[in-house]
Amino acid sequence: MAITLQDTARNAAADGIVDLIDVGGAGTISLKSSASLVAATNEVATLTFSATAFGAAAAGVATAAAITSDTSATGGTANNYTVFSGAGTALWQGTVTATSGGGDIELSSISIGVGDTVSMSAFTLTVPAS
Amino acid sequence: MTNPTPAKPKVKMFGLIRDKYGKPKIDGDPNDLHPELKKMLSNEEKLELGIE
Repeated sequence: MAITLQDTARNAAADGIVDLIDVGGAGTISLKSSASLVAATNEVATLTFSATAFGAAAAGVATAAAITSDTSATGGTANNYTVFSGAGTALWQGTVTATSGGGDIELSSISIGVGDTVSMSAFTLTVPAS
Repeated sequence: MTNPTPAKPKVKMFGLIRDKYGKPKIDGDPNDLHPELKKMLSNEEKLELGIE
């Protein structure tokens, strides 16, 4: 039987994950052409979290503080992403799609040119109850 | 005893791409953009793109 987490536990789990981003300084999120846990490998663009990347979670949802845009992207087709701590440790990875594609990250366009600007908003991490 | 199944965290984020001249890059119909992406566009850009 699956367990059902209460909000206190959901918040603790969400905070525990996102607080890892702040270890060693401001963390980063790297958009990649294919999955990789190595920072520079397959990099298309890299954005930087605030020094305290996320506020305290509520109802199991942690919401990111401002994320600094990449104003000079490396360029390529973004299909995956990896989140790194400030110490450069890979924390998690996921998928990138265009709008309505169902990826963790949805971009207005996955075709990113050299020197393009990539801006992010509304980054949330949710720990569901079950 | 059945092992409990941990709840998997879910992530959601939206990103707007602009070319080196600052013009938004949008795949498909701009009206299909997620509301969070529409919020990142100026009123002038929405007008130009025909976003309702």
